[in-house]
Amino acid sequence: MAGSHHIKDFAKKLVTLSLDADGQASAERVSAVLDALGQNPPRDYKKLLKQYSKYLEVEVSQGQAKVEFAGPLGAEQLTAIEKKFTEQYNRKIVASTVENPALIAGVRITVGDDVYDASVATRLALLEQNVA
Amino acid sequence: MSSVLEQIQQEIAKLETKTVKTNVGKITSVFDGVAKLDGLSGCMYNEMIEFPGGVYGIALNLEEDEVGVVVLGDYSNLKEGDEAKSTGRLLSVPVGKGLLGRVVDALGQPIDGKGPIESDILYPVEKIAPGIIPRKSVDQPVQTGIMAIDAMIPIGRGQRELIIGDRSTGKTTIAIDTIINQANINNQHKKEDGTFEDGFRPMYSIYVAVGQKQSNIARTIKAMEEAGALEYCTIVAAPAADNPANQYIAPFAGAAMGEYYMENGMDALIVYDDLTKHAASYRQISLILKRPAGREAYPGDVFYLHSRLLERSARVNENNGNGSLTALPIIETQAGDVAAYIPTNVISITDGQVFLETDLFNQGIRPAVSVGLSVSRVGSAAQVKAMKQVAGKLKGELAQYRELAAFAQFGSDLDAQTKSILEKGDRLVELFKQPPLSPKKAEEQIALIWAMQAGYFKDIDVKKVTAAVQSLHEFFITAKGDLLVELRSGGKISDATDEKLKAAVEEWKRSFK
Repeated sequence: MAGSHHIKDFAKKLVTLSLDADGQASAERVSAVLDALGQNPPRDYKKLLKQYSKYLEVEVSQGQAKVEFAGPLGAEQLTAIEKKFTEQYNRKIVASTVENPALIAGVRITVGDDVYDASVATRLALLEQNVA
Repeated sequence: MSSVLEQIQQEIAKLETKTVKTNVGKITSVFDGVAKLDGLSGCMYNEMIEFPGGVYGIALNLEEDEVGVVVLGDYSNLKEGDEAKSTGRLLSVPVGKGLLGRVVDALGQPIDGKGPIESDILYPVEKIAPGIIPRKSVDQPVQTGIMAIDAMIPIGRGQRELIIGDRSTGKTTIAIDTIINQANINNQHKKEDGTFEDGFRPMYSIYVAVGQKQSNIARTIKAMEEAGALEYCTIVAAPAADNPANQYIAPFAGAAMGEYYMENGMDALIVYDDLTKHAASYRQISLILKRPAGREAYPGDVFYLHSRLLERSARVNENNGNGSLTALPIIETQAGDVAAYIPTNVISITDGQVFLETDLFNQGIRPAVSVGLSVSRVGSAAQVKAMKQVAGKLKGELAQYRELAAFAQFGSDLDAQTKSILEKGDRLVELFKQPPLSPKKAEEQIALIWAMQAGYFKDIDVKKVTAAVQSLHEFFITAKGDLLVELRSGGKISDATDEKLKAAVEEWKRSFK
């Protein structure tokens, strides 16, 4: 148990080292961290890498807004979304788009574990649930 | 058809146009009814988590980078990678009078095939117990209908009285008899229009079956139905076949149902049958969640599990609803070992215990209440005055009898005083024998104990005492109804009533052979 705590703490430190001045995970820094680790592999190297990868994935997802949309979505709206979430989460949020016709209309935005849904498909599902 | 369209239109009107925010996580593993999830960073302790397929769970372990969720229901369709979302709600169950006469599961959903529950009030399953200020002292009786208990171990409204004993010693029978007696008393004070007499406070019951055989629960329901008690009772069933999460939740769900009555100026009785199995189901969940195991492999918070449950039973003052919730938790011991972990915990939490002994049960003394080991810490404050008057010395007399009976086995030459104590003790034991499902009204109990204390059974052979008690009981019901009404009034037995009792018992005795 103590070992796993040690790995978690170490992995968290590595994630901190992987962030650039803007607080974003940078590819350069990540490869530098991996190089340094590879040259002098610590005990439980594989476990550490897994944990590092997991934490990094969470970190990256928290800095991204995955915008699923159906129907038109303009560049202005995307910028507005980025601005809104950057203010809300108090960190830089970069939006990426994925077209999802299953939504019928509207958007669904995922930032980390949070999902913001303004799609017709979800409304209809809710309606079905309440009427059933 | 038009009603369906109307319903849809209403739902459409209710739909909000704003964005819905949810916190989601992904299942990393599912085993033994517990799902581990990645994500759910905004999840609250005890929050309901929604899985695909309408399955819900409760978040019980909030760890550094994963959440342990106990799944309530069928988890066989859940798989790794499935998305689960937080609901922002604590687990709640329907409460209210719509649940009377119904059998529900741990989530308050009907399982008796009598249609949906007519209640739109929801209470959270976990709730902080009333504090010191809202409470009031316990001074109103709960008549169990069992003479040995009502006379010597009186229970008050808002009290927590433990029923403890080995397997097959009649623990559940005492609880069911008490529920049936509440229904009998309610019916006695019910007017023809279905309302109750002014000033009468009906007692509603909740029977929580945890980890029991389905056949036992079915038998209990049948007994209650036949006795006409089900209309005042709700049965919360989490049988042995149910998953441990439901068995863990069931007593808390029952407590929430009872709190509704307490907070709304009514009185309720709740039976937890039994907390030993409840502790075992909690142990199972805790071990699966990899919580550190303590004594007998129970988790460290097993005391808090039961204390927070039983503290919710209380009598509250006028400013807080003026109601009460009386609890009768049941604990099953192994070979009479009351010093085991869970029994000692619950003994220390409750306000007394009714201890049932296997030896007494096998000797035919039923209910097998061990007078020496049973106690009610609220005591005679919750006893009607007349009962206090006639039964005040009983416990001491029986204790003296038990002590002398042990010595009397060795010697034949006994002095007159010892003989008289032994003879009276033998008759007292017979007096307190009572068949199951036949609770006696308080006034009937008072009359019978009065007759015993006045020495009217002295010259009746011990073997015939049970028959004599039954005969006198029937005599009072059939011929002396007015006297019973007088005793029911709740006051002390006056000299005039004493004379009437004397005359009545003498009249019976002339006819009894």
